[in-house]
Amino acid sequence: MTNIKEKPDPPKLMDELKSQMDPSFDVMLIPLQLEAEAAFLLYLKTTVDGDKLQNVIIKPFFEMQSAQHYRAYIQSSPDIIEIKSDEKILLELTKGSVLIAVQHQFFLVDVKKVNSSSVQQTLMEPTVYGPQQALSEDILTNLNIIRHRYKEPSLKIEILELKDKTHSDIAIIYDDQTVKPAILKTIRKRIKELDVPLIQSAGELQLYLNGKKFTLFPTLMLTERPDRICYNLDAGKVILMVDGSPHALIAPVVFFDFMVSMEDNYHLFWITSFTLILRYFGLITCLVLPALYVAIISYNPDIFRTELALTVAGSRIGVPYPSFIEVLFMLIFMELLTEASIRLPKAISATATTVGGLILGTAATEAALTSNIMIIIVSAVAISSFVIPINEMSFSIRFCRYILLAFTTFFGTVGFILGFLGILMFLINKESFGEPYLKMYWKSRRSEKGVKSE
Amino acid sequence: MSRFLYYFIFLTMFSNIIASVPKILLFESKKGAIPSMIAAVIIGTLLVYIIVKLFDAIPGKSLPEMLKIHTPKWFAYPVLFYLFLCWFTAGLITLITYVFLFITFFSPETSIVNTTFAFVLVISFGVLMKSRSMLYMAEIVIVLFVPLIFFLLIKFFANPKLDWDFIEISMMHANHLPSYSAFGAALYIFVGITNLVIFNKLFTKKHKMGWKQLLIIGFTGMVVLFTTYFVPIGYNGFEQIEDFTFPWVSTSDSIRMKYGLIERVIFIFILSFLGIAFVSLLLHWHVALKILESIFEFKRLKWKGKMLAPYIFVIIFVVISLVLTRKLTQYQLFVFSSYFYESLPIFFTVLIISLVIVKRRAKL
Repeated sequence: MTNIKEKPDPPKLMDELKSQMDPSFDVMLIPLQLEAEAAFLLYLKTTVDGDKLQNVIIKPFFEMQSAQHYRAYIQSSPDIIEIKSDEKILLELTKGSVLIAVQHQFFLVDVKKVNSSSVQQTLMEPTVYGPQQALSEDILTNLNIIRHRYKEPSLKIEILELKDKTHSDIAIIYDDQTVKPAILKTIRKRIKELDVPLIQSAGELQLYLNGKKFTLFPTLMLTERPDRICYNLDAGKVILMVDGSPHALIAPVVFFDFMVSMEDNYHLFWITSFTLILRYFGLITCLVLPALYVAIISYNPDIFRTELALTVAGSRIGVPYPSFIEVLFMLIFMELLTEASIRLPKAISATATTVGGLILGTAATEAALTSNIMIIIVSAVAISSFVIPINEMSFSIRFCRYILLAFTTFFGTVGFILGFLGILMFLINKESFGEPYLKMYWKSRRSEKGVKSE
Repeated sequence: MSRFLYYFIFLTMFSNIIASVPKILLFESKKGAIPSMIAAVIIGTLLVYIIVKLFDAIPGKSLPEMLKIHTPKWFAYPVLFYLFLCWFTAGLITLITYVFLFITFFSPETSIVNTTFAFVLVISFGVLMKSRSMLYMAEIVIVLFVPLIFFLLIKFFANPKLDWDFIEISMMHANHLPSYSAFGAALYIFVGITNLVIFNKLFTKKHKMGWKQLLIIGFTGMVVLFTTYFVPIGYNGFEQIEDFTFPWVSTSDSIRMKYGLIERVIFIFILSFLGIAFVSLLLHWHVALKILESIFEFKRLKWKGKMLAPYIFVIIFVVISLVLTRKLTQYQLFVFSSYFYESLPIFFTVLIISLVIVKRRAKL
């Protein structure tokens, strides 16, 4: 063993792979050599964890007695990935694996570096009691969180890979004992049939899984709370997670699910009932109040008792246009204000709300562009639409409000009630993965756990 | 018995108040309305029992399907067409009566076409829904509106203006022979169960139909009918009661709520019965549409894989109701609906005979 080559030739496959990825600066093809023994590493510098690579892959090579030992060592690594095809190798390399060649054999070992595995605080659905940590942006961390909270052997996790350009993993999580097989089948089928170029978040996936192009009400629920996930797993629902998104999707869902806050489980019975009633009251208020105003002012002022009718009419003295324009005008400004305060940086949004809410409101009444009562209604509507715990539902209800308003404007009080019944009918006729969206659940203990009943 | 069957029955029972039933009953008040009501409760409960039992024999199937399989064409199609006419008329009467009532008491300035259009717009979306959704819709509307109706009933009965002397006077007229038209009108409140003709498709389990269920139905029917008949008399007196066009609505306007945001009960009355009337109309027209679809199967009329026939039928429904609400007068409507109510015994006979024939032919 004297004639050691100065620089051994890398295997042909590695050369080919490297040339396919050139001219990226971060492609590394490194020979490891100790006396007659040689190994080669091929990886992308920007995706792998340098420390791990050094400690787990490189260092042992020089500590082992022979290349045979090293091969045995690599083979028994827990992070090893089965090699299926050459394209698969390329894909794995871009995800953060290292291709190792020892003694004419190739191994793929996962040494990816994840920068987004830190668990975030709950932002969308904060609770006072309850857990404060949400999910992270790394799917493995998220699965770890779920496993940690739901220690049942019947918890099953399937990983599917998206066919889009991100090649992200999608985890389908369910409790084998409670899940409905038909729903699971539909979900698997829909994911496999997906044909879109780019999916970057759970929200986007939800859009494509809906099955319809134009949807108003969400048929999957987006959540960031691990406790909500476990609660729904127990109820027999399916959870979907996308790598790189700090949210999980819950399917199927019914309307009442969107009215449940996780806080409800952590409070005393009467307090929970009270907040629940409050929430439904908010829902109804934010849906019907603007339309009701138009119906009463423009069509049937005689509904109210005389004193009240006079007060309302009195506050509208000097307003130069019909009630529906007034309502529409104020509502649109309120929506603009909400939208602005969400999108603006925190430092400016306070100014926006003050200027918009206080100054605009006062000035509009003083200029007799709207009545005082309209300002009260708009603020009541704005506040009550925030009472709905899940944001998506709140958006949908906000939209429905305008449909109801239009119907009332055209048809008056009868249009108001009929429009309300129509929205109800629309919800009832809707389905989420074969489950009726809105119906009375008398038999189940909780509405959210109603998926399994009849 | 599945809870949805009760909903069918109760919805029609409640909706009778805003249909022409009270008007006809009160019109016949001196010609034997009370014995006709008693007869209608007994016979109506019996009919409900017979129909539920007969439908038990064909679980999970709708009547049009069974008729087409087991009976000759010359029998099946005329029967189906007659049934369709009955259901369509039932819905039409509810619609027109309600629109008239709304125009008269709620918004006299709005044009009648506008109000009718608001109705048919929502209804035509509704009747095209899945049959299963109908059941849930019925349930939710009952949950939302029946508490209001109970509140109103308490108001009606607790009010000191309700004069029991008038009711006692009207009781004096119990010794007449039953009148046929009052009997037909009273029988209307038991019509709800016949919606099974289509909805039987959704019920695969046998219905438990014993004494308890019969008593519930009979007793509720009794209470509803007697409330329908006696409350307007109690408020308005016995002598002139037959001249009222909308006896119940006029009655409800005589009650005030001293401390409420809404002072006049009539508004709550009309709006809560709007919900009930709406669902009853929805059920009737859905059944009518399904029967019509089973008669005329235009398989060629397709667009992007969707059957167009139901949409065409719904447009026809809409046009008919728009034309009729404009053409009819209150009096014509009254005559028209009393003919319909008088034909109800025939309707029940035809339905039961065809069910029996299906049962025989299918050897169930």
